[in-house]
Amino acid sequence: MLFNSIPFLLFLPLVWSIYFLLPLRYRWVWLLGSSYYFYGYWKYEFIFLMAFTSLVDWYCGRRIKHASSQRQRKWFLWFSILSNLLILFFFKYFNFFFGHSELARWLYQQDAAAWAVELARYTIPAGISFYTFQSISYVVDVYRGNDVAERSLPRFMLFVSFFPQLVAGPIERFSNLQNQLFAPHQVQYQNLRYGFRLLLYGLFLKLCVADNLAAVADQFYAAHQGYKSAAAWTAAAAFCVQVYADFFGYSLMAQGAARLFGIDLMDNFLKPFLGRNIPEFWQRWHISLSTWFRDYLYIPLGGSRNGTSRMLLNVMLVFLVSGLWHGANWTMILFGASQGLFYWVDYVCFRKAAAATGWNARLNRLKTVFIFMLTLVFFRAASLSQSTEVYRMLFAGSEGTASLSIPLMTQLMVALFLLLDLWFTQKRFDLWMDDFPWPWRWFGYSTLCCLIWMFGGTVNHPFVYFQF
Amino acid sequence: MRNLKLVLPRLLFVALLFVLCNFFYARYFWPDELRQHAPLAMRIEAMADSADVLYFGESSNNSFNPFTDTLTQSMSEFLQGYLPQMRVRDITHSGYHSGMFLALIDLIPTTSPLRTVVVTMNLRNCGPAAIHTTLEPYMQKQKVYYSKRWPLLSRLFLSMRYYDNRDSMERERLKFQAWRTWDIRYPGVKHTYPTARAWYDAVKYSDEEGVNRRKRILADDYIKAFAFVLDEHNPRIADFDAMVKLAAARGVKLVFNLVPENVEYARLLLGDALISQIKYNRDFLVHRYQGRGALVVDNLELARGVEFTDQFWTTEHVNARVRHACARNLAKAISGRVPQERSLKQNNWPNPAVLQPMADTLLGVQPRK
Repeated sequence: MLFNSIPFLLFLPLVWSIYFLLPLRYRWVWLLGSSYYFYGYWKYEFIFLMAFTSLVDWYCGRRIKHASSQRQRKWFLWFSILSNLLILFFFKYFNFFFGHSELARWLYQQDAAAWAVELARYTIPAGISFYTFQSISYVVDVYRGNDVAERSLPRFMLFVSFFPQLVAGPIERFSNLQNQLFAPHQVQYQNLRYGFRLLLYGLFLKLCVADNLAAVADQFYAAHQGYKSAAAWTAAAAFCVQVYADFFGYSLMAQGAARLFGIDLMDNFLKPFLGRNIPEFWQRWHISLSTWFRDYLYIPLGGSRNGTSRMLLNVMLVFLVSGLWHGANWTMILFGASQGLFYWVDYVCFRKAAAATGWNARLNRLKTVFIFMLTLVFFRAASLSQSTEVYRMLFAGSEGTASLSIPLMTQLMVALFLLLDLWFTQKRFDLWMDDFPWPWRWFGYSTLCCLIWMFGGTVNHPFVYFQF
Repeated sequence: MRNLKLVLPRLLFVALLFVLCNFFYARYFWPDELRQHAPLAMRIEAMADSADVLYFGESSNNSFNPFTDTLTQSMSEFLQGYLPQMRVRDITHSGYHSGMFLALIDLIPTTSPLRTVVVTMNLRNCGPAAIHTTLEPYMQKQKVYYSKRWPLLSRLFLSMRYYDNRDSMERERLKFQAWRTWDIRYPGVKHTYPTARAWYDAVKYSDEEGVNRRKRILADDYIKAFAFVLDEHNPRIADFDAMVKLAAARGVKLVFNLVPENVEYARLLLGDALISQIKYNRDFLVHRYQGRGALVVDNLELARGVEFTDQFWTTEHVNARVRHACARNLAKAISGRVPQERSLKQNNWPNPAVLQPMADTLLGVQPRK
């Protein structure tokens, strides 16, 4: 189920109402059932996969806690990590690496395995990368002694499957959710108010900004050869804002939905377009993933402890893995590599940019967004050859004659978003609204509602990050 | 209770805002939206008001290849020629199927003078390959425009993707799943293969490049398109059923035009097994609807292989000779009498001197005299 869907508009109030009607001790059970329904609504087969992942990680967590030796603890840690990665690999990367191999052909000939090959070839379980990483983080934290191993399997299953952050994050840590999920929450008007504000603004970002820009970018990438060079620049800029509005909007909706239940999820974005260099940009963009990679990959690889060159190598490795995490495609790997490369450049040449102020800071921000926009061509292109051709169009011109325009209404909504994001709001939207008297607040809500109802994009796209 | 008092007035405000927005939107934005995305919705009212016969067609209604099909009149235009006393209009859109036609028929105003509706019945469209086509999300999206609900609600449904919007990868998976799992055996015939996949796996043409490989690809295509068994659970059948009910409620005569399929090539490639499968499905359609609120005009075997525009894949795109013959059969069903044969003004028969690549070289058909 997606947040921007009619079933979710019915699902959320229903789950919320029953949650607060139930006695305290049954509430989390209801939330668990609802979360599994939420996930299975899209494709019920995959709830077994998620349950299996939860079972393995819960079991390994318990065994790590009660292990008699360090060797045993390590064994269960690696068993958990490898089983998670194996599942992830099969559903996300099998087709990339072995899709056309003899092995795939042979498996498809076997009646018992044919359905799994079909699934692996054509479907990626929604949010598998998110919940797998969340689950891995729990096991590693238990191993490190940062978290207590959860005694109850169903409770752990709720941590993995909690529906607001299930399919596209934020990737939460057990220590943050554990107490909140099982706390005796009461209906509080404040939670409703902040929750709905986040849901409304997130929906505006997704439907009005991201989906309308998606139509522009899609139009270009569907037949890029016929377009002028200017159109390539328009499409690149459109996709850059689209992917931000899309994912930021989703994260806000996740936070809003959780807030209705009295649960605070972490912020996933912190005005990334204000990042003054690539390292700072990644501290503000998809924070839950960046911090995950920092804690569970970068630091175990040695982090910055072994000198600059080793640190830069670790950064590159993290970005390569991050690229692969984004999708099983060479373009995604190149996207990660390009981020790593520009991280190097900024770290070596423009390290002081992060402290710049005034016009210097503005120019650095512009440069950072420009670089990110360019690297996103890899992210959006359907193939390596398409990305090469688009870069050629961007920098060497094009023989195409078609132009690409962004409808006026879309331009206005994008401008509204960017102004709010970069200029007016110093705080998160829900908190920022508190600064206004109620007539202005309601004017704002009404405007957002009207824009969503009348001018939401109609492209047939799920969330960009839904596929990861 | 205190929370309820706080929330209720706000909900009422939002509801009122929605009603006002709908009024504004329906007046100033919806017509443009329809013009841009679903022009047929705008046309259907005018069409129904000025027609005695309304023909709902897909690509099979039209002429496609100006080199082999020199007469470009559509089937519905030929039909008009056979029914000069009636006003025949057409609503044609490539790829449309019974579900789309049903939505369009529902838009016909009840006050319309329309007496007869002709709906294209495409047998291939009832199979898994067509049911799970990647065009489907586009059509389902259009279907939202063809609904009678409040425009703002429709707009919200579109932006919230409240239609069958499964993506192309998922549809591809469903297609393969259907070929692997749909039972294609039917009563009365001893069938060798339980599923389409078992059948196309068993096709004994070589995998090497050349004629045999092309034959294999084509045979695969025919199996995938026609190896299925129709029953009442098929979504297209459900749509046809609903159409019959709707026509009965409106007092409109409903005629199904079962368009030609390339049975000749089906036989040449796969023998009688696929032909009997096609005929079984044809009989199912005819028996289900003929005389039960509808007429079925069976044009299934009207065309020879060479008369299809597309020689290397399955379509219902036929030349003018066949479109003309179909129109004559339709006219007969609509008017209830045998219309006088109208000769084509121009010889549009395939020139025997021109060898069609498929029929004459690949399948070894002898040139016609």
